[in-house]
Amino acid sequence: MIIHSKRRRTLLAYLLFLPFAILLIIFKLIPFANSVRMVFYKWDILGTPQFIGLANFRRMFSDKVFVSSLWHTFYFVILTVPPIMVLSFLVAVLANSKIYTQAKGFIRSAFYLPYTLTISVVCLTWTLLYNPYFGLISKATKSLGLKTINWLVDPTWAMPAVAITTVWWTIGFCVILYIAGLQQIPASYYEAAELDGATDFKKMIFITIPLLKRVHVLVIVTQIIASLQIFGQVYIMTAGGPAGKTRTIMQYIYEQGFRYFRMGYAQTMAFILFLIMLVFSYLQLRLMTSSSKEELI
Amino acid sequence: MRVKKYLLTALAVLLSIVYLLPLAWMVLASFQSQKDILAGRWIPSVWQMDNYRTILQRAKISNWFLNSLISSSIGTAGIVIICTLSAYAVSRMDFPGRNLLYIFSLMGFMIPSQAIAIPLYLMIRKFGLVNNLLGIVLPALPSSMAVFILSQFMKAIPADYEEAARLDGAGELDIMFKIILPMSVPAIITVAVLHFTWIWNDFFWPLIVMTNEKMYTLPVGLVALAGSDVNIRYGPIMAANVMASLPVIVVYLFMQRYLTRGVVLSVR
Repeated sequence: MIIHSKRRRTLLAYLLFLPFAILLIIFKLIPFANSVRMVFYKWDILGTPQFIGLANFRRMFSDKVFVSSLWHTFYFVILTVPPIMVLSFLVAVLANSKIYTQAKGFIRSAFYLPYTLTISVVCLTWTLLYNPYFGLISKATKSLGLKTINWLVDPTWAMPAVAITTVWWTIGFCVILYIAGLQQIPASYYEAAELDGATDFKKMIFITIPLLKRVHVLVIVTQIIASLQIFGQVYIMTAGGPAGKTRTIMQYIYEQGFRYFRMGYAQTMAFILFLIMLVFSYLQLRLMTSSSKEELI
Repeated sequence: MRVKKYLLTALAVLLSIVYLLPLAWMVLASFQSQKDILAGRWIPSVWQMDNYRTILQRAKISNWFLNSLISSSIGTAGIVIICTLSAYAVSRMDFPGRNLLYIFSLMGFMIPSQAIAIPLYLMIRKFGLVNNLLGIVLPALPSSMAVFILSQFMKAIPADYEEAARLDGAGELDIMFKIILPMSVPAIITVAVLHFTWIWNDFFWPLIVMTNEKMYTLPVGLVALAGSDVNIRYGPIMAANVMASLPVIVVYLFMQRYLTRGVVLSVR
């Protein structure tokens, strides 16, 4: 009887898991296996795929556009991750400081709201804000007596402009993380420091920042992963221009794969992106599985 | 002390307002005439609804809205059902191979969707699901994130409830449907809200899978609209932006608690 019910329970467990497993295999694992296979083929959307060994890789490393796209992607990561981290930390500290409770809710909502919007809405709005003739940003710089920049068309400023929009869009996500982390720091730490006569600045340097180590790592890892995959902002705001200065790796993959239908070549680049991201996705998975429920610090 | 509180509060409020200026401008511009926008105005000289009228008449925005709504709702419902069942199995049931299945369910984290977009597209194409909402829904279903959040939550429910029910002769399915799942409702809502906004806001995948203008989702349609139709001016696009943002903002207002918790739960 006992053995019977145990076997039944095992069967039930597998049955409950089965739909998920089947879908994961069909829509994640099989495409992944194919994604590895495709890099060895000349695979155009029509016609028979042709095995060409490592030719895709050889072509890729001598492809100047690929190398520059890779560099633009790293440049974008550098332009976005540190400001996101520093700004979201500061905003969270302010939102968690001794201010009126209503203001706490307000600042938190205000900073999270943009993150709920779709990337199209964000980018189309910012494209107009950046407009050198009537955009509000050029109006603001003009009133400050600065030179007007044609942000999205200027080769030097196009990428920083895309980065600024991205920082604005995503900061809320990290603010929430930091606030959650800050709330988990025991008040007794600060009280003890106050008894020793520590200033606010010292409390920040010696208690807040080091105790939030885990949150810092989480913010860095998730934001690097997000920024490495940057596509929508570039596609919508600059289409990779001016003169390819904002073409990132996903943008180039999209162009090669879905505009010229060179699927094998595009997948080879996607595979390289996968390898670069592997380090960070593994780190993220380790972080996620290493802590107990809702503990951030 | 009092002064400091005032000052910090003022700073927080001011910062929030400055931060929201782009959104405020988007809403105001949707009521402006083209002339007002080109003049770089904040407040419309005449408040008018023309932009909304134009966008509703000209564009296929109602199609796109429905496509987004249907794919997000069905996708979310499917994720909740499928991932709740599997999360229950790996977190509340004891059977040989359980840990292995748990690790297996997290494999999705190691495979970013962008990395497999091309072979997935070829597969969807072979299935005949290009320009079909199922092409968006089906690949979204096996969400490792959903299984992760739900199983972490279910794991933390004490075994006492379950044992008491077992002594009363409750079967495994009774325990699942009458005890554990009702207790997991907060986590289930979090997962639902999180995935609804993710599918609603996704841009890359629908851009690839939907090639027929009628089948676009809102994010893809908006961009196509702004880029292709030369007769569409800035005002109508801002009006479209406002309309596309309203549903998520409504979800956000009512579900803020779950969304922000979802952020924490999704990274830990």
